[in-house]
Amino acid sequence: MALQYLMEAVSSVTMPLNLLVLVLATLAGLIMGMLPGLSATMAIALLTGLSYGFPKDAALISLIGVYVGSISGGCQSAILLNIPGTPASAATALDGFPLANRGDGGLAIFMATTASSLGTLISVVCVLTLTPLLSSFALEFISWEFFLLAVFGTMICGSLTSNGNVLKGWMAGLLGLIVSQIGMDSVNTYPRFSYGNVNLMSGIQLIPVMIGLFGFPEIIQAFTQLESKVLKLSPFRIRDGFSRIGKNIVAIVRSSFIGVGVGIIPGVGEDVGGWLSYWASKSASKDPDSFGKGNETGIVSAEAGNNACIGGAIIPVMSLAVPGSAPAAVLLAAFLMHGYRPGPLLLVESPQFVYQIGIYLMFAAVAMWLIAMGISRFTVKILGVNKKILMPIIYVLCVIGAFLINHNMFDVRIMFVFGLIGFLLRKIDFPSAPFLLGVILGPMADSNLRRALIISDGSLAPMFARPICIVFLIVIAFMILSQAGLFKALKKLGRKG
Amino acid sequence: MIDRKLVRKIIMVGIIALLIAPLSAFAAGSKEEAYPTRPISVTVPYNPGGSTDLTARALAAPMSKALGVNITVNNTPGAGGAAGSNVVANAPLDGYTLLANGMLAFSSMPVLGTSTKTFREWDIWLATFTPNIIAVRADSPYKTMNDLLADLKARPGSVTDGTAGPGSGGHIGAEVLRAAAKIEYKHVSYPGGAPAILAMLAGEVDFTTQLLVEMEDMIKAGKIRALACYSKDDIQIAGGPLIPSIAKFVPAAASYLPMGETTGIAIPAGLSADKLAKLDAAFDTAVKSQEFIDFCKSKGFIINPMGRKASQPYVENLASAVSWILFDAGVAKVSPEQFSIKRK
Amino acid sequence: MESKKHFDFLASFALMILGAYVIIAGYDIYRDAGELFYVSPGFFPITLGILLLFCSLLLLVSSLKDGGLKSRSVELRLWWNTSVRSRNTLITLGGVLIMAVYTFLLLRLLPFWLASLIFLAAIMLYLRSTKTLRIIIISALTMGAIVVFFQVGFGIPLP
Repeated sequence: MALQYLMEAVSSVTMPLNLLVLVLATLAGLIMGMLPGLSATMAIALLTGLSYGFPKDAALISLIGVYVGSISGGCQSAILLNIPGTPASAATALDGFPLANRGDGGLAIFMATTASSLGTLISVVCVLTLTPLLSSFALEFISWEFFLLAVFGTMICGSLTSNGNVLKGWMAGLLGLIVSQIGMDSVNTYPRFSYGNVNLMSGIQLIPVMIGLFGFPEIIQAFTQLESKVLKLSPFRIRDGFSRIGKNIVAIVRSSFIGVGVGIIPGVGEDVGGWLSYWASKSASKDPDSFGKGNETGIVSAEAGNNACIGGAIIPVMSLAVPGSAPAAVLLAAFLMHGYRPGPLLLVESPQFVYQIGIYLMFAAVAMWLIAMGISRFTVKILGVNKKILMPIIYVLCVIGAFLINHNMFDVRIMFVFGLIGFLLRKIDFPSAPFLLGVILGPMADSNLRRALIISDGSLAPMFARPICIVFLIVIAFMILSQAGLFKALKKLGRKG
Repeated sequence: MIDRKLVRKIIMVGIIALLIAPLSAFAAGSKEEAYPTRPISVTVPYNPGGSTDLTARALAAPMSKALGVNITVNNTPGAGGAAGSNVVANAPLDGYTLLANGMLAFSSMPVLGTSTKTFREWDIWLATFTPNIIAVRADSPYKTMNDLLADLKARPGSVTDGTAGPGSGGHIGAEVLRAAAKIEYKHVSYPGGAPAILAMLAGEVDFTTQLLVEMEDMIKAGKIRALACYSKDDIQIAGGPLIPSIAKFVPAAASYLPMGETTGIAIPAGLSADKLAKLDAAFDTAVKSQEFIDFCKSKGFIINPMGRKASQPYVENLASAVSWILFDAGVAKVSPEQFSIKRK
Repeated sequence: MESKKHFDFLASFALMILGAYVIIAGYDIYRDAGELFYVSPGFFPITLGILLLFCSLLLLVSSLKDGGLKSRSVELRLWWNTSVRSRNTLITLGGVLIMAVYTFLLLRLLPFWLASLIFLAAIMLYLRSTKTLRIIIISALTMGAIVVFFQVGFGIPLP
């Protein structure tokens, strides 16, 4: 039975028209992912409107193609410009940009894209085999777990990007968390830090913050570059690239499973997936100091991790009608619009749907790889042109991206303000990534902590009775203690010196 | 050196502006005749996939056919629906920016202090209705509504109800229960209906008072047990169980029924009469179109079409109930009297 | 890598003030909302403010190592005299100013494509990115491509 569904799905996706749709959608996704400010969520939302008139199969294929393409496309601008195209690829920039500076941008893009593709494929295997089993994982997370996951995510991001001084990384995370407190809180709908401004009441939008923090400093830096420093790219052999992928296959598989897990958890998506798998690879590495300086394992971990979230996020969509990430939420709406009913009845009413989605994801992953490799030649050329010409154009694109979030000029101004903040942060060596993750995870940390306390009447005790919480608590405690120990060691050194 | 650069810059900008000025004047002169001539956008002030979003998208397709232009649906979530509503309220009143909203949240915005504009300053078309239900997970000890009511009375303030937040349909449903059955519950708010239902499934809260459409599939699949519905008559789920009316267990609740979320589209009042007439006609075609009817059937929405005139007294009635419930519960800080919303 | 301890020193002060503000504002929220402390919308901001204050103190302490207050103020003065007054800083400030004018003024007054066209041409001329004619062609082509891609291709209304 399953085999028959699989064959049907394969024959539908290989129809010439559908193949064309797949290629176009994936290409559009890649481009949108690459452009700073046009996130995966927005790409899917735009296509949902466009695909309304498509036949069902073509519509599904186009949506899946755009999703896979946009999550993967972000890596190219992250690597070449140090501006992540989507929040999901912020971790990729960490090692990708140093590699590109060294002249290995082509290799970095090859490895990132291949890892993305493999990550998606591994997540598809999980979708096809484990959907009923894994969907109950989503129900293991209640308020306590969400709170600790948010704290944990911000903290590891702070440690990973801190460049030696973990304290600064955590402080940047704290600043992001503080910014996220602006606006209506979701427990009492009390407007915090909004000073009567309705735009502030609706909170600080994520994308303008991201564009500001990452894009703005790069744009400004280009103003004063004396000569146009064109990225030199040394050619690499595909075979060499594959052998490097082969060396990192353990990291890719590990990151993919982490990505699937993060994807399943409702509301936590691709952005966190990239960081968690990056952290796991760095912790497992024998040479953790080389991370952040152009380590290939870092690139493949981040990209495999964020792409594997796609499959992970689709699992609860199909079994519970609950999206596992923000782009998956739009995907869910699109499924509903096209007459599918994701949820507990899906496996009874249209069992072929799971297989269809799985096969489409697989084809999209392969198509994405081929197209990304094809266009990377052009992107390297386009993004390698004189930065004094490129950066103003990028700024206009940033303005469009910020505007399109809510069709509101206020967000464009917010982007500018956060651009200045990002510029200052870079000057004083505070990493931007934990700031961004703080903004993403802040509402989750705040509302879940208070919700849990409301239910327990103010007691913290239930947190220590839940296994997943205990794991989080141990890791967090370990991180703080090792840092405190480091402080002591530094003090000793200081006294001696 | 800098001076010359500056002069050159100013000249260039001037030349560009001169070249472009006639073009833009031409563009401005040629509009303002027929309506609609360009795409219309519908703002949904919530995340995609919720009941408002689905209704808006289902309406957008047949309406765009009737009007002959594309209709795009934008999601602008935030501030309990106030953010998107205010974006539309502040947009130029040219008939190209519409709002889709649920009337419970929409009519409670003034008393919650998120808008000074009441529903009376909008033209509203209503399309769908879905009632609140009281539901528990399948392995819950509450087998019937009476079990739940008994426990609510035995442990006042300890039984938890998950909703989509203060002012949401679920919260107002719970407040009605509190007022009618004289019970105390513990309100736990989530950032949307789906997270609240998920928390109920995960066992974090004991029951939920969210909307029927959000749970219909789960009820059919046997993962959720519906204890009561907020409509005057019992509701028979196609291929599923019969949900008894809450009035059977709490007779005092009967005066509030039917209670649920009514969803439709709205535009600030003051649009020219011929544009309104075109929107009237398009809306009328849309709610009668087969694709809209099929959509509502598959999702469990009740079609409840009301034009601009019929909707005002309906929303007035709703606003009075909702605003006073929220004010009495201490959630709304602004008195409904300020907006001359009378207590029923 | 150059030492940036003088920046840490400055930043720790600024962030301490921010932390204190967040605590005070959070306390106001707590009083205004009138809920139990752990339910109150002020609870989390106050917690964050305290953590930020604490971390800033740690940063201040660590920034005063290696020479203490005196060497920090020497470094700051040196930085002020060299970096702040340098030509690069002026160029950067000018560029940011053009971006600000575009963001806050032009976009409000003019249609999006016109504002962006003027911005692109102006900033590239300011930076003297390339020859004048080329700048105009590049600006026009870019805006044309953007308008075609978004407005025609995807039917998205631009500002």
